[in-house]
Amino acid sequence: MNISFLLLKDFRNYRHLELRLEPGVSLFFGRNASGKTNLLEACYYLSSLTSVRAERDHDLCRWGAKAFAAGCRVDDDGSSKTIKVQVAVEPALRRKVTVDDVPVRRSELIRVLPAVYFSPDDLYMIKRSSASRRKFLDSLLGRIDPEYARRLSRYQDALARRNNVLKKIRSDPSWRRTLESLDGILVEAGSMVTARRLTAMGDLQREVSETYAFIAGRPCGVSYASSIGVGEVGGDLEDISRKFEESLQAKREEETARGITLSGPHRDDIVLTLGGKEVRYFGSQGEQRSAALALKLAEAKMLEGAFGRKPVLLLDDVLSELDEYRRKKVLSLCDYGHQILITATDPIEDLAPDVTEFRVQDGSVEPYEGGGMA
Amino acid sequence: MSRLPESIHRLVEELRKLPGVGPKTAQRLAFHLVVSGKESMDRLIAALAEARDKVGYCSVCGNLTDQDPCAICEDPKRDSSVICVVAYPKDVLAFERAGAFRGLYHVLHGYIEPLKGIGPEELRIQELLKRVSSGEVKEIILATNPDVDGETTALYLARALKPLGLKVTRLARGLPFGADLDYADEMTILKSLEARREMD
Ligand SMILES: Nc1ncnc2c1ncn2[C@@H]1O[C@H](COP(=O)(O)OP(=O)(O)OP(=O)(O)O)[C@@H](O)[C@H]1O
Ligand SMILES: [Mg+2]
Ligand SMILES: [Zn+2]
Repeated sequence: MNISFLLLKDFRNYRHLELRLEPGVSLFFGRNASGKTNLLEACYYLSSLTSVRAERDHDLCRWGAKAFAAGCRVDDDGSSKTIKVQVAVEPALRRKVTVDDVPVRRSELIRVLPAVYFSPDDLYMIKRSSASRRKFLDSLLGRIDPEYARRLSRYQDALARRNNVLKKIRSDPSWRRTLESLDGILVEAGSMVTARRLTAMGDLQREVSETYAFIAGRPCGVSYASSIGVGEVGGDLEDISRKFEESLQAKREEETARGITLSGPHRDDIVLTLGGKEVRYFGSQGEQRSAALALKLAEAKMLEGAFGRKPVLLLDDVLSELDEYRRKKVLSLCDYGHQILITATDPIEDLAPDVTEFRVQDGSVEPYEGGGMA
Repeated sequence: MSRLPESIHRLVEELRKLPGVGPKTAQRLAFHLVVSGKESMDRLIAALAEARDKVGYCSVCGNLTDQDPCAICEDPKRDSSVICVVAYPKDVLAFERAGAFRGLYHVLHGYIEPLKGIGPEELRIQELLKRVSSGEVKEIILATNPDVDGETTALYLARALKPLGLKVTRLARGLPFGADLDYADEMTILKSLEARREMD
């Protein structure tokens, strides 16, 4: 599957762009601030209607413009589909999303164009607090399963209220009965979130371990660290609910003292290990980079499993950080049918046998015929 | 628009306080009223004054009314063994529009909203408990929104009512997560009323 054509109108620093793309590897090079990330951002936006860095659609609109549009043609096995997104940001935000000119919901786009965005910041997933790893998992599951996103948001609604009530109870114990009511909602939504995560962990463990071995030559361990003590994989909903309730009971005193909820999916973590040691604390820089890369490649595999199409891999500035061996490994993925779009500040010699190269300059993209000075 | 006559300016400011009315709409409404003539303005003023003087809350169910108790509470044809509990008077209107419910109502005047610091004490819950203590009431239907505040309120009420030996039911989730009652069409309300389930 691959994007064969991309169209942008007033998207970020692109006034008007029409770009023909080939399957396989495409390299976009150009100076800082020329528009490389913007280009990959547009591809990801067409897959998810979310931005890799902006909070709001407004930021995607070229400064001074009142509306923007993005569109692409996606070829797959001889058939092709066209995604179009038109967004007016003024006077009010209005979005029109179509596939082959038929209006669709956001969650339909990823079925046509699954995509994974890689950035050097992926390293934070390994190095930083558990929040970034939960975000990775939540975002992945939310795209595979819109119902998961709804449950998670209900859980977060209940959690915010519960934390508020915990703080109030200290001065006004009459809030206790409200707390009991909220616990019911928290446990119901939270158990469903946990159950879905645990099911996904089975696949994720296998994929991360395999992709890590693929790029670094040895397997990597992955496990789910649950704050309510539920098992690695499986675990039925009832069992999870019961453990969640017990855990809330057990920590009730400490929770009221601290005014926060101490157990539930918002306190869980994904732990990556090499030879039994946590990559986060003991991994070398290279191992941590490989682990981040493995997580994202596993994301690609999970999307492929869910939608039956090989996701487009959007590699923003990450290639320059990999050594020769791992770079070759990643690029070899195009032999398995992935389209790969790469950005770099300079052309890269001997990147891969047939790379299409483009030069990006001030919001325009031109095909680039070889770097030879002859 | 810096040169608006002071009296029109004041009118615009008052209209702006209405829900769903922005500055532009407020101005359009104000101009429309002013040029519509004395008679039509007098009618509006009279209607406002009447509403101010006559409309209040029913001392039994808490619904808006211009007689106390309200027409629904006083209607002998309505089934006084079933009470449908809603958050706002507009929800009563939604049910009445759907025309499927023949029992009585109880309006809470809000939800338990921890994020705004609104607790159960601020709702008309004590009044409800007093109403059901007469023994005539057999079923309470909790028709709060399906979002977290609505669900918290329903669970809270269920806990308070169950010990009194009443049948406590909840509207079925024909309404999608987070969808408000007053946006639901009549068919949806009918269906979720029919498919209400007992709370445990
Ligand atoms: N909404 C917008 N309208 C117009 N220009 C924008 C908008 N948002 C960002 N830009 C500009 O687009 C330019 C290109 O940004 P982009 O992030 O794509 O650069 P890049 O080529 O990836 O650079 P680098 O190599 O530094 O990562 C920036 O100079 C930025 O100021
Ligand atoms: Mg960039
Ligand atoms: Zn009444």
